[in-house]
Amino acid sequence: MRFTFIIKQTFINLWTARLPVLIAIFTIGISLSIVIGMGLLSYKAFTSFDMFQDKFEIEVFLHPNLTQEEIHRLQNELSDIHQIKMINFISKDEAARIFKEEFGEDIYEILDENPLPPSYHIKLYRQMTHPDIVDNVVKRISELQGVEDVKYHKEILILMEKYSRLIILVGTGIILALIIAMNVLIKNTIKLSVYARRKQIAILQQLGAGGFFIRLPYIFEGMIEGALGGAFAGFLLNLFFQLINLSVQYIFDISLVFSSSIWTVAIVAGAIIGIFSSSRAAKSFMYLFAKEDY
Amino acid sequence: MIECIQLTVDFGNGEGIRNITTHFYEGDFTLLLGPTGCGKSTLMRIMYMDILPTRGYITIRHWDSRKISKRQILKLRQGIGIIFQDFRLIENLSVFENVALPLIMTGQPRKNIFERVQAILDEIGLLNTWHQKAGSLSGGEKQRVAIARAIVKKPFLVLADEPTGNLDPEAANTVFELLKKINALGTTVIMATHNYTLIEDCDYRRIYMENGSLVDL
Ligand SMILES: Nc1ncnc2c1ncn2[C@@H]1O[C@H](COP(=O)(O)OP(=O)(O)O)[C@@H](O)[C@H]1O
Ligand SMILES: [Mg+2]
Repeated sequence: MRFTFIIKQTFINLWTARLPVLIAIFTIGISLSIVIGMGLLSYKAFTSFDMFQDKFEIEVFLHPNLTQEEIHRLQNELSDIHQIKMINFISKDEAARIFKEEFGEDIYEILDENPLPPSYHIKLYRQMTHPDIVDNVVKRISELQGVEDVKYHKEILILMEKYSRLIILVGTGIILALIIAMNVLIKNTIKLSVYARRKQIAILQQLGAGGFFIRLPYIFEGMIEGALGGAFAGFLLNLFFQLINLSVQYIFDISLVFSSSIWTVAIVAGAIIGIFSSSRAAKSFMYLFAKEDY
Repeated sequence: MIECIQLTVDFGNGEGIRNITTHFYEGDFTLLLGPTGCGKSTLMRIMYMDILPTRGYITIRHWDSRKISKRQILKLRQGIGIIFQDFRLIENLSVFENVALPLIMTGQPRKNIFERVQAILDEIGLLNTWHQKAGSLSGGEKQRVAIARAIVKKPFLVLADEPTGNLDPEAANTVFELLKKINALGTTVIMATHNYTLIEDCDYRRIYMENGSLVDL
């Protein structure tokens, strides 16, 4: 009966403050959809960075007329550089084959001889792809004997470095701000409820009710607001991603893999924020409003 | 069973109660008398530890104001039935819910709650108001519901702070008779009042207060 009573109180509270509650639910929904949307987009961005980091290669072009021995020596020197994870030798013939694959034309038909130099394709360990480290490695490699030229996409590295930091900064900023906003919204409706029920709370205290029994309806109230806000966020996000998928699928390609889990994440996140904000609010406002001077 | 030793409460404005030393005995009906503002309510609030004494101490059974914890205060209150001048019912709940509240919050089984509330509402003659909102009752009925709520948990002590203050003489009489009956069944009752006509015929122990102190007459 205790539980039934608490649930009934919860719904009485929600119904009594239905307008502010509704406003809170909608605003929480919008905030939460932005938070989760941001989260997904940064996740997406990071996985693309990750993929790029995996693919990132330094091309080391060698003098065309190196002997087998010189090439071997070079390979040994390269494997001494500890940032390097993988070394792949592309001979003149292989380079010609790749050229044919990529451009569809045989280099020997265009020119008489194969001008493509032999090269090493080098992969670095993932945590070594910071532009400064790469610069160092490149410098070391260029100084090796037999190396003619070193090529890599430095601009992309720098861009990635810059943007990943920016995304983390802006992302956490926005997420924090919105979580604080949700907290404030829920706190506000709990404040209204506790204020409206201050006499009842004082009576319960006089009857010797435990703090948890008294607070639970308000905590549930916050949880329900948060969860409903989360459901609304799930709805907004699904709508958003469906629109994106219709128009610019090939850019974002968030191919609704998340679609069903978006709801779960949104509702659970909303409920947790709700419980967290309301339990703190219930405690402090009870202290404020339901003091003995009833 | 209740021992007050040099009880002093200072509200910081020179008001409160001063140096009260007295006893209340198990099974007694004690009347706490004195003009408005003399400190009756303050003394009762100490008894359910709504306020703790600034100096001195009070012991109620094994509870001691000097070392009682928050959790123990709740336990103490669960053993005390408190009745106020202004009833303090939860007006938007039904009579049943109001009376059942002390049992609901301590997690009693549903069947026990129904049986107990039914017996008590029957006893005070308000069984027909079971489903009514407490707010819709008359003053006299509200106070009887409040009494039902106070005794539903079989308290060892009933505190009644001016329980007839808002009632017409007839309703006041009914309430007083109910309290007498509760006491006759063995529960300790302490009642604060300045309704002297109501109590003139009874020979209960009387304690007089004035300006926050006990007075001997
Ligand atoms: N919370 C409080 N703060 C300050 N003064 C108070 C407070 N409660 C009671 N008082 C003062 O203490 C005195 C005793 O009050 P009270 O115990 O309510 O008297 P009674 O119940 O006999 O009318 C009064 O002068 C009252 O104004
Ligand atoms: Mg009083």
